[in-house]
Amino acid sequence: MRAALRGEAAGVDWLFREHWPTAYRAAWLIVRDEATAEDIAQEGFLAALGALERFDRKRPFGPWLRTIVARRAIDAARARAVRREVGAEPLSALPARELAEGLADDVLGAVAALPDEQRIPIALRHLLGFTPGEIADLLDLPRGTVNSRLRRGLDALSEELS
Amino acid sequence: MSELTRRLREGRAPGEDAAFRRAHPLAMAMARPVPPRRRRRRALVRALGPLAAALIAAGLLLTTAGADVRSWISDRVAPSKPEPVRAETLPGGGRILTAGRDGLFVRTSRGPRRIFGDVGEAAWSPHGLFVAATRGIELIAVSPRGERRWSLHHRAPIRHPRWAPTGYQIAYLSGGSIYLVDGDGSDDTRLAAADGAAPAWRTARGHSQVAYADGRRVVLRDSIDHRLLFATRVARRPLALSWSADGRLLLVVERDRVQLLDRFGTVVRTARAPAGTRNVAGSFARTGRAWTLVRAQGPSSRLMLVSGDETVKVLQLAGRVDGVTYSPRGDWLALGVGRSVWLVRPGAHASLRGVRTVPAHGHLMDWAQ
Repeated sequence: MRAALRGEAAGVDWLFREHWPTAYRAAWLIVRDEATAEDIAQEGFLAALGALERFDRKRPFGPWLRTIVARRAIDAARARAVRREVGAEPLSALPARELAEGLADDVLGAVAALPDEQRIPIALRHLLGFTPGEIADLLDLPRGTVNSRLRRGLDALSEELS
Repeated sequence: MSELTRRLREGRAPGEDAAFRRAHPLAMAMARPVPPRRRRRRALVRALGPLAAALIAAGLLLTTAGADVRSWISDRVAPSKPEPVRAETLPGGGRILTAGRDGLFVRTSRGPRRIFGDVGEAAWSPHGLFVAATRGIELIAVSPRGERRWSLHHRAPIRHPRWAPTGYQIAYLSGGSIYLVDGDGSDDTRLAAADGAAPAWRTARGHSQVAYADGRRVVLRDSIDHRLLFATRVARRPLALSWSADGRLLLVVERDRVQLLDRFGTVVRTARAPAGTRNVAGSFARTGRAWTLVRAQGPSSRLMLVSGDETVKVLQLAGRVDGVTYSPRGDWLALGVGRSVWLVRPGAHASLRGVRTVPAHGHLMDWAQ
């Protein structure tokens, strides 16, 4: 981390390899679109790297990056929900079940198949490590609603994976 | 750590590895290391510094064009350290068109917007009012809002649609021929045999003319009466054709050479590609007579800016460049590199003033107002 803060290539390389997979995976779980997830993770990462000079060195880098990525992914998911998709294969019509069946990893596939209201809180809680209170802030929802959605999502997952 | 967290962190999402490979070089470009060479240069500067400073000072004092000397120095230094920075906005303004399996996207300074489904290629109309897109054997005219205005189809796949600067006609290739169709989808007509490079339009005294490749010939025809204006034999099949803004020079990019033809088809200049490299793309700027050439060397690409007699290699890119287009005002140059678009701002005397990258959802196609 100190090497990255000094702008050393080895440090940036380490930061990228350490944090990119989680950033991309979380973005993909939230938006379920490869191109959009790539944009979100890439832009989030580069924004974080670009702002390293202003970064408080006493704080860990991971949660900071994860917050940037989560906010961008949630914004993208909301924007897509209200945007009218035009074309032969609208993104909104992407069947979650079909999407999940193409995945080699059954857990990731099972989470990807959950509806938005359960999948997004589960990705934020169990992949990015946010607390229910933080998720409530990110999603602009009451904390109780977040807890109940997490519960329902976990129940659906255990049923799917049992 | 819960079992679910562990499994999610160990899993792999679709496209994750490819996205990693594309993003890693961008992240590494953000590193600003102190290279060992710089230390050597510092030592050299320490040794020769007083002498160099004296010479520069003498030059600034003794030459009447001291200011030009200073700008020349800065122009030459700038290209040596291009730093790709991801753009939050779209430098150069306007709307960039990208196409691929994810669909047809329009990227503005506010971000990308998917306007249509899976298409092969696409091109803006002159004022950006419509997009001509190909989907297999189909040519489709689409509004920027994604509304299909008209479509036509052939027996063979349709490639390289290019809208005339007047907006009245579209030229495209299909089944070994070049066709012209009116902007409203009517009067679809075969013009002649053609293959390879995308057609290049020229406007002269209100007449539209279209240059195209037919094997190892570069041909120019009038788009209304189809009259042959010239047919020039070249060494290899052209990969790209581009007219200068004043319509007086035609850039012909071949694998191992670049030629400039005048408006009568006469070769006025030829430049060979160095051994181990091959030309892949090229385009005249939207204003003036500067032009751009992309050469591939192994897995990397070199961007060359050419202005008059000056040729400067300004950028070495890891990856294949599959598209080159200028911004509507001509002040930025877009290069399609995989699923990213690199934006390069050429300066005076074939120098480089800035580099940005923006993400793309497909291959770079065109850039309009």
